[in-house]
Amino acid sequence: MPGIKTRCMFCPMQDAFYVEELKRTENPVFGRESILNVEFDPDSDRGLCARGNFCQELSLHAKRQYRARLNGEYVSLGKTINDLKDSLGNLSGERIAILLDGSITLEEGMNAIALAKELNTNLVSLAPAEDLAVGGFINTTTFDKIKDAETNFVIGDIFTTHPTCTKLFHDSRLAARNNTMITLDTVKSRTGWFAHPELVSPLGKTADLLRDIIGVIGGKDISEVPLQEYGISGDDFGWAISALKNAAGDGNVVVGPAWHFADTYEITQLAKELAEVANLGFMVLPISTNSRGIYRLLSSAGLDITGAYKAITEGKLDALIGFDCDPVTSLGNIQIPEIFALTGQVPVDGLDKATHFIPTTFLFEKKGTILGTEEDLIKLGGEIKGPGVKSTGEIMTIISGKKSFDGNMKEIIENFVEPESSPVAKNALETGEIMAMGNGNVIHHSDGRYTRIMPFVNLRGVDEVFEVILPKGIAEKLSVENGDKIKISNKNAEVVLPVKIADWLDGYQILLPMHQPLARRLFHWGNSPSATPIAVKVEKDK
Amino acid sequence: MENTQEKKVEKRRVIIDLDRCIGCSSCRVACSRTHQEDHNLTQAVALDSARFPGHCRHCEQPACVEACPKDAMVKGEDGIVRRLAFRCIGCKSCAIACPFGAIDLNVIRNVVSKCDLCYQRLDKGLEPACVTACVSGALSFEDPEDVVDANLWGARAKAKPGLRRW
Repeated sequence: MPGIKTRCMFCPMQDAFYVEELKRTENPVFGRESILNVEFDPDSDRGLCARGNFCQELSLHAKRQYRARLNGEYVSLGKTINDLKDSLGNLSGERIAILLDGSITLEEGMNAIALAKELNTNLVSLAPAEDLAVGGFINTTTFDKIKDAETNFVIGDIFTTHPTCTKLFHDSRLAARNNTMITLDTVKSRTGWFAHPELVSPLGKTADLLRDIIGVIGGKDISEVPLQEYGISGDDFGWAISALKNAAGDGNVVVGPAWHFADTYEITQLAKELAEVANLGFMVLPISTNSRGIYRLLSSAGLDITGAYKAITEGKLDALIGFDCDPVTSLGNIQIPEIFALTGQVPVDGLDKATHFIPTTFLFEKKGTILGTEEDLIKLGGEIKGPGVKSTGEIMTIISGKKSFDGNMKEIIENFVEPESSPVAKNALETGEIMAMGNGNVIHHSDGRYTRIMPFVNLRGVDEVFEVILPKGIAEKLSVENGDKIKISNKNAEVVLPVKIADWLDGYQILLPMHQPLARRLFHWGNSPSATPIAVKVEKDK
Repeated sequence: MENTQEKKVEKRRVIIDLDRCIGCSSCRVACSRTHQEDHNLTQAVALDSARFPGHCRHCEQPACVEACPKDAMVKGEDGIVRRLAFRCIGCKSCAIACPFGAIDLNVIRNVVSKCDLCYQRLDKGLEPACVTACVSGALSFEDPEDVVDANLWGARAKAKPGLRRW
């Protein structure tokens, strides 16, 4: 194949593809020295999902950022970096925080630690924040084992969040020996379409149901499980239990908790316990490509990964640097400090607020190493340099004046020990009278049931429909009609949105418009699109 | 002089296994990317619940070719039905005539988009972009008669009687 073999930057499936640089002399394109061609990897049978296919589009994005900005003015790259370096040099380390995107290389992670040591700060963390809860887990199964497994137990809607895993599960599910895929989720989902049995737990009950499944496999009497409370039939529950028991040594528990469960850590921890009790393989799929690798580096270096978020949201900083991530988008309640530096590739919400903006390259344009989902180290094939753009690692090195953190990266990754507790709240789920979650694409069925499918990441903007879908009962209580506005509030934010009344929705649940910037503020971490349930209060807007 | 080098007839077609399709649209995005943002691949919606790609069948007697008033739709010697962009006036006659809804009614750059089986990729020995991109193994590029003879789908349907899309 022509070009270099690289990996997708969008999710931990890390699908391989080729990028080929076509020189400008052969393909004249104004505004860039070269253009890229993306070609599929013929050796990979997993394909490339809709998001993966966007790698080329992102690389050639009409608004791709090639020029550095200092206080909103275009200046040279060198001047911007040097100004940032000088500004940081005058500050106290404990008032500087660094956020790292999960799609940077391990080498860049090491550079970031060196930078933190140089700046004398411990406040370094990982974005997206959701991955903090799952970054510490070690996977014990492989993609090949999933493909050949007797039973795969899936928690979350991974066919939507990590689409290229689909083929593995189909291969197992459709094997001639009649294998089983079981799903557990709070909604009927794209993954659940193909599962039997499909276990759907009420909002906030998923962890309890998992505990009961673990209990029954460990010897607890099935009659002690409050199946009626879960709304699950005895047949489905019994089938799931016997499939899990029969699969001992030849099955897997795969969990994709982020963007889906509020109590991300607890769900993942219970999934791991289930895998251990039932003698199955375990795999967690976070949001970002290399989150688990970056987490291991930061955690092993003793950096304060939760303190960084606390300092950012409480406004205890003089400087915040977001390497390839945008804290303004991801944190609804961010207090922007005096020095706010960002590196990135395309326009983000924080771009106009940044004092320093430094353009960088995407993961698939870099050379370096990432931690594979199967606990292996994957080398990226090569480097493609955009005009006037440096990689994130190079920028870190210029600011710190140090090449890398002193330590053996490979040893740190391979000798990592799972932490005993969560770096974030153990149970972040709050239950209330009314629960809100992202809308998604709702598909109605003739018998009154509905399936809510999470849409794929919307790269082109926010959803067109901004209404909150409200059950009839709540609408009557509030005396609101279609188009009226209601105030939705919780401890994170208070937003006002128009209403659309539905008679098919459960009485305690409202659906928020996905990707809508206002609605996002209600969630713990604002970049949840979000399928994560949250407790809210609703009242008619006066 | 008679042309002794006959163009090889392409018997293979893009075939979809509905028991695998998750409606993720990776095929449509790959198609659009490969064809410079044309929408060559339509999306079919079954009973308002399942969505899957609607590929051109490259019919033996294509209705779209007969319906086109400008001879912009042609069936080549290789059996592939192509749209000639420079002749197309975007009247959508082909899209309306197609019995499978495989041609998008929305015109892009004033012309109709139409699946061409990625013939340029086929010439390089590659499969169509949609098939290569498919994440679930739902799309394959095979001779339809081989698939029917192999009776693959019957076995799969029997494997999981409980399967349903909702």
